Amino acid sequence: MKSLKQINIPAILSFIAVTIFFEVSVRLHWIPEFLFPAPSSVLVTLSENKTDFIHAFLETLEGSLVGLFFSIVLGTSVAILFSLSPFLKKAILPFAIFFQTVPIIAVAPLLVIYFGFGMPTVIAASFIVSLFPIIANTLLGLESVEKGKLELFQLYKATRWQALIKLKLPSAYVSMYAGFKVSIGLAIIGAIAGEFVAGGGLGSMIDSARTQQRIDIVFGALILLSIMGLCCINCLKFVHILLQRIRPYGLHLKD
Amino acid sequence: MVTPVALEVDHIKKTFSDLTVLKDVKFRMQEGEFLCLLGPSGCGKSTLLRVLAGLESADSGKILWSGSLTEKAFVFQEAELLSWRTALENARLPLELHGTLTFEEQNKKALWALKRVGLEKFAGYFPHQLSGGMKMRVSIARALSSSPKVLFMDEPFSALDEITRFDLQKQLRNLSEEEKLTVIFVTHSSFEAAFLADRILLMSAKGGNFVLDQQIAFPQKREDSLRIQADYQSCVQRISSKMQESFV
Repeated sequence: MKSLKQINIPAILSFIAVTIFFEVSVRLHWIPEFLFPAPSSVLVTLSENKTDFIHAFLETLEGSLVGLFFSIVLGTSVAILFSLSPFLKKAILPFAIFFQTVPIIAVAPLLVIYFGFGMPTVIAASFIVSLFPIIANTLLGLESVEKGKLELFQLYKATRWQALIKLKLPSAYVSMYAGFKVSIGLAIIGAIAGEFVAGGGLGSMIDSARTQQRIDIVFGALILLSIMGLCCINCLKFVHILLQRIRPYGLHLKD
Repeated sequence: MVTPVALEVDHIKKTFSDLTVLKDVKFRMQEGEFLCLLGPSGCGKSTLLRVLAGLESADSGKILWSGSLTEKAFVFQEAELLSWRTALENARLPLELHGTLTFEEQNKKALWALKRVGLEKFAGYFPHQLSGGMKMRVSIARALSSSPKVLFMDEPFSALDEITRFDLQKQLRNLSEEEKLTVIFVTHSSFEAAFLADRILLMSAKGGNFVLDQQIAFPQKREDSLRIQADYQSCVQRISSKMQESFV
C-alpha cells in the first residue's frame, strides 16, 4: 500500500493531460508544427537518434556531476572555514556572491579561453553555477546550531574540532541537504551553458539543432534534461532516506 | 564532624546593559548539599546558576569552589539531546569529549549512568523514540556519566507532566543522596523546592537578592508520601507566601 501512495497520481494525470492537449493541438493545426512539435514526433526523433541522444545525455550528466562534486567538496570546505574564522568570512563571503549572480552565459566564452573546448569548460561552468547554494546553506546550518547544545559542548571543554565534527556538521545536515537539492538543478543548467560554447553533450545538440530549425531535436533534448534532473534529485532523496534509516540527522525533513 | 564548604560566593554582581540582574549575591554552600534557588521568573536565578557554572562571567565578585569538586555537570531546561545519537551515545558524549577513557570504558560508564536513571533497556533508542520524561532522564544520565561532584540544574522538569515530574523529582533526590552530589537546582515552584532541597534560597522578584535562606528538615530519603504530609504543606505555604510578598 505504501508504494501505491508514494506514486504522485495528480502529477501523472496532469502530465498525460498536457501531452494529449499538445498532441491534439498540433494535429488539428491550432499550433503550427514549426513552433511546437507534436509529442509523438519528438518521441520518433528520440528513438531515431537514440545513440546520439544517449551519448549526449551521458556526456552532459558527467559534466554536471563532476562540476557538482567539486562544488560540494569546495563549497562545504569553504563554509566550514568561514564558520571557524569570522575574519575570513567577512573578507571573502561578500565576493562569493559573485558566484550567485554571475550570468553564466556571459562568462562561458571566457571559460573556453581558460579551459579550451570540451569537458573542462563544461565542468567549470557547472561548478560556478552550483557553488553558492552549497556555501550559503552549509554556512547557515553550521551557524544555526541551538545555543543550549553549544553551551553543552562549551561546558565539557570540547575543542573546536570536536564541536565541528560531533555537533555542527551533523546539525547542519538538514541545510546542506537543501543546498544540494538546489545545486543539482543548477549544475545541469551550468553544464548546458558550458556546452553551448565549449561543445559536447545535449547543450551542443540543442545549439546545432536550433540553427537547423530542428525543434523536435531541441524538445527531445529538453525532455532528456528534465529526466536527468528528476533522476538526480531522486538519487539524492534515496541517499537521504537511507541515511535517515541509519542515523536520524534531519528528522523533521519529509524527503 | 563538620561538612566541608563546597562553594563560597562573595558579592557577585551581574548587569545586562542597564538591567541589574544580580546585585551583591553572597552565600556559602556545603558539600553534598541539595540547594534550590527559588524565585519567580525573571528574578535572576538562572543567571546566577549560569554564572556559578561558568557559562557567564560575573561583573565583579568572587566564586570559590572547593578544590575537591572539579568535575561538574549541567542539566538544561530542555533535554538538549543530539537527535542523531542513541540514548547510550548521548550519555557517552561527555566521556568522548574528555577522551581519557577507552571506548569500552566509555560505553560501560554510559550504560551505568543509563541504569541509574532506569533506562538501560532504551540504550539503543534515538531521542525521537523516547517520551519527554525519558529524554530528560537521558539528559540526567549524560550529566552523571562523567561522575560529577557538582550538578547544576536549570528547571529541568518544568516542561514535563505532573506524574513524570513527581517521579523524576523522587529519583533525582535519591540519586543525589546515593552519589553524594552537591546540587544547585533552579526552580520557580515552591512545591518542587520543598520536596527536593536540603536548603532553599529564595530570590526576590527584583534586585537579585535573597529574601529567605531556609533549611529543610525532612528526612534525607524523600518518598511520595511526603507530599501529603501537613508539615510539608505548611512549609510550601510559608515559602510561597514569602515569595508573593517579595513579588509585590
